[in-house]
Amino acid sequence: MQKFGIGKYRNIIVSVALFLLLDASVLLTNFYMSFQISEDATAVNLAGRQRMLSQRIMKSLLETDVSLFNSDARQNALDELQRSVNLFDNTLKAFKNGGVTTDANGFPVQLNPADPGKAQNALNAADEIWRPFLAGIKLLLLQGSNIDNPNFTARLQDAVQYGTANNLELLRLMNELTVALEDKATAKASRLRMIQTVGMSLAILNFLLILFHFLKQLKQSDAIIEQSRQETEEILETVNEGLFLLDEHLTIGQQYSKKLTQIFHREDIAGTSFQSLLKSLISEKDMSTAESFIKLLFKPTVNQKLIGELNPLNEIEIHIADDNGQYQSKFLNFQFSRVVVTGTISHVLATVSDITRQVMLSRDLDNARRQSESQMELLSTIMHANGDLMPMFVRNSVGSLEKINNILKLPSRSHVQHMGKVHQIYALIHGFKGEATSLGLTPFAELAHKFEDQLEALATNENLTGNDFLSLTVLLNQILRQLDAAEKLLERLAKLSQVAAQPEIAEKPDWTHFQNLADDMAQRQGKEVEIVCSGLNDYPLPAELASTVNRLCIQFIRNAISHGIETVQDRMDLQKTPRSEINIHFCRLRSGHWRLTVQDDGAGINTEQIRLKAIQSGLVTEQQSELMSQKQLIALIFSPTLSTQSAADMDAGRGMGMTVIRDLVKDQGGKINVATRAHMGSTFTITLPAATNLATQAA
Amino acid sequence: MSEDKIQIFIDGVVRYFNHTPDKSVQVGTPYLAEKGKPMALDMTGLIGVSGPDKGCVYFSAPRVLLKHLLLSIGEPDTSEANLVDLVGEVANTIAGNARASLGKEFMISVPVVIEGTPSTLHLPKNSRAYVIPINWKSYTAAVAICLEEN
Repeated sequence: MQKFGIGKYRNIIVSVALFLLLDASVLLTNFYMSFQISEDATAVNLAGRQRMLSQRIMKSLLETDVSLFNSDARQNALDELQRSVNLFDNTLKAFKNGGVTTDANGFPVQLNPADPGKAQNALNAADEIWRPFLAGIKLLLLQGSNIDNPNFTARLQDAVQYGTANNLELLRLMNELTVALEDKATAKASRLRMIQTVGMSLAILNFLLILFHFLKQLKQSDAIIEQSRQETEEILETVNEGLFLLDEHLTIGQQYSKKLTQIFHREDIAGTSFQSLLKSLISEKDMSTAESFIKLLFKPTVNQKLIGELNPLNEIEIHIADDNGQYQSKFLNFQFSRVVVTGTISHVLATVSDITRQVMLSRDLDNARRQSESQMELLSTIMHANGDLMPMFVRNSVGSLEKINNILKLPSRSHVQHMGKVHQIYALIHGFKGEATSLGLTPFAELAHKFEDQLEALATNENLTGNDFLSLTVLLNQILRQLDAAEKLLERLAKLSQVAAQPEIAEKPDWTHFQNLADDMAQRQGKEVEIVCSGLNDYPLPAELASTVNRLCIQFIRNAISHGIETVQDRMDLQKTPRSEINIHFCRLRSGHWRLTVQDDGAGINTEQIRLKAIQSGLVTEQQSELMSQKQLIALIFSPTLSTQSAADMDAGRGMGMTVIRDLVKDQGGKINVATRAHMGSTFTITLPAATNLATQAA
Repeated sequence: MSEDKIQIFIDGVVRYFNHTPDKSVQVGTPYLAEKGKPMALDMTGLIGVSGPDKGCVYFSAPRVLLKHLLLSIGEPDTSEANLVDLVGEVANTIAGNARASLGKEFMISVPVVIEGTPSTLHLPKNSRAYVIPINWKSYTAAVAICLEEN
């Protein structure tokens, strides 16, 4: 039964079969009974005929008797008598013992012996009366029809006499037979009706059973189906993955989860092909790999677990336009598993999960890891540097780089304007480089050096366009980002050490980095330098002034070591102490002005070398230079394009150091005084106006 | 954000202007916009970018430049609608150029034209945008590239 899938319908089939069987039984009984009733009806008819025949025999006898003078009528009456007697006798015998008689149409009719009881009793009584009567009539009929025959008349009279005496009894008996037969037929008919009633009632009962019992069952199973359909729908509405079935032709089934429509931002998914779902979202190569992969899953011989690794869609990035036409990037994970129904693979179930968050999270983690690595690098750089000066460095540097950005922002169209920008930027980046070097922030110094290299390339470009500055801007952004990172790191460090930041008044800053810077540079150049500072910590300095002083000192030290101070050997040859000295003195004048004096015991400024360099770099002509005073020649050292060093290196050489000093002093509204003597050294005196002297007010 | 990628956007604009009768287009010195503060002129055609780089790229120009540009390409109708179309077209050219050079990975949305300053929503907050002035005749427009740093 199970095999044909009718298991659950067995009860209903049995019931219907029972219904049909009942109907068929009723029909058969009906058929049989009606056949019997028809037989009974014939018998009733024949019994009725016997009544009539008994009277007709009597009538024929009397007719013969009254037709003594009409031979034809007599003969007719005798003939009729003969027929009636034969028919009566035959029928009586047939009723009594069973046998054949003829019906009204002269056809033979088979009669069964009458049932014992009333009918048979009547027949026996009739037979007893009939036998003598029949014998009498037979004797009469043997006499012919001649009335002159005395025997004839005698026999006739006997017969008439007997008949008259018994004819009413015979009629009564035949009537009794008829009634008995009618009763039997009526009984059969009512039995038939009863059988029919019972059969139909059973059939109706059966029908009602089917109607109520099985309909209830059907309704129940329908309700279960509806419930499971609803549950399926709820699952598909709520599940967090895109679920759908694929057939062998990679067509998507009619049902899929709502999430699928959200993932792909489309509704018309049912019945479309898998290819069209992912068309233009993934590469053709991935698409064809995915197709082959799914087709493999439909091959029963292939082990699903073994090919799992080949799934090309386990972490795929798609870019999909959302409802507003904006592109979204999503990472999707497709999982495919076989759906096996009765031993064959009917479908492949695809599960799509939006793993964007996980992927982004892991990327963020990666980024964070990388960031923290680079922060660690930066941190170690900062730790190695002079910690107190770091915030100042970052602030100054951001300021310088913003100035560079502002220069870039200025409109410029001509070559001259572009070149002007190159030079202005040069001074700023050189200052930044100097500060970075002095604090031992090598990564920043290197970036600045790279920046200077690029500026150098721009400076020599005869067809300089705005577009050529792009690499510079990109590098600028890079340095700014590094500074951003350093700033954040410093903020965190400040919080960690719980030291309240004091950006406005830096009390007694640590100036030891001057000596570090000097040692570092001097060592590279085979020189020995001693920095002697005085007065720097005598006053509480506002941050801005401290920063300016710091930057000026750094540039002076760099400049002195690169250009003024001789190597140890040279100094010894000149009978000088091998270790040179740079004296930095800071004081406040009575006028409130600030004075910074930087004095070195180096070679002094070689005006002849300046003159030659200035001619070489096209700053002045030879004739112009000959007319220039010592003072004017010395002033040339502040020009941005002059450097007495032949090659640029990390320490100096691009001739920008003095320009940086000039710009710084100019920015503060100060003045510079230079005094120099050959082999004795140089003294730079900077006077800064009192306006910057916030410290006095604060103090 | 590599220099090459930025150059592709600059080339897109230059290419557009080079198709106009007056080819005297000049690129100014690129600079950085302040974080989260977009630079914008009168009208801006903006394209959203997703994929490995996220953010937006926009072309912004003063009305007078756009009107002059329309006239120079033989369009006498300098109505607002035409100006909007023109800005959208320039943005489209930039997008097309980028798509051709950077491939499918670089997902670019349909250009949106905005009057005035683009909403800061479109701008990555943690990075500075590159602004490249585009000088045409006596006017200056700009391309801005605001892509999140990865």
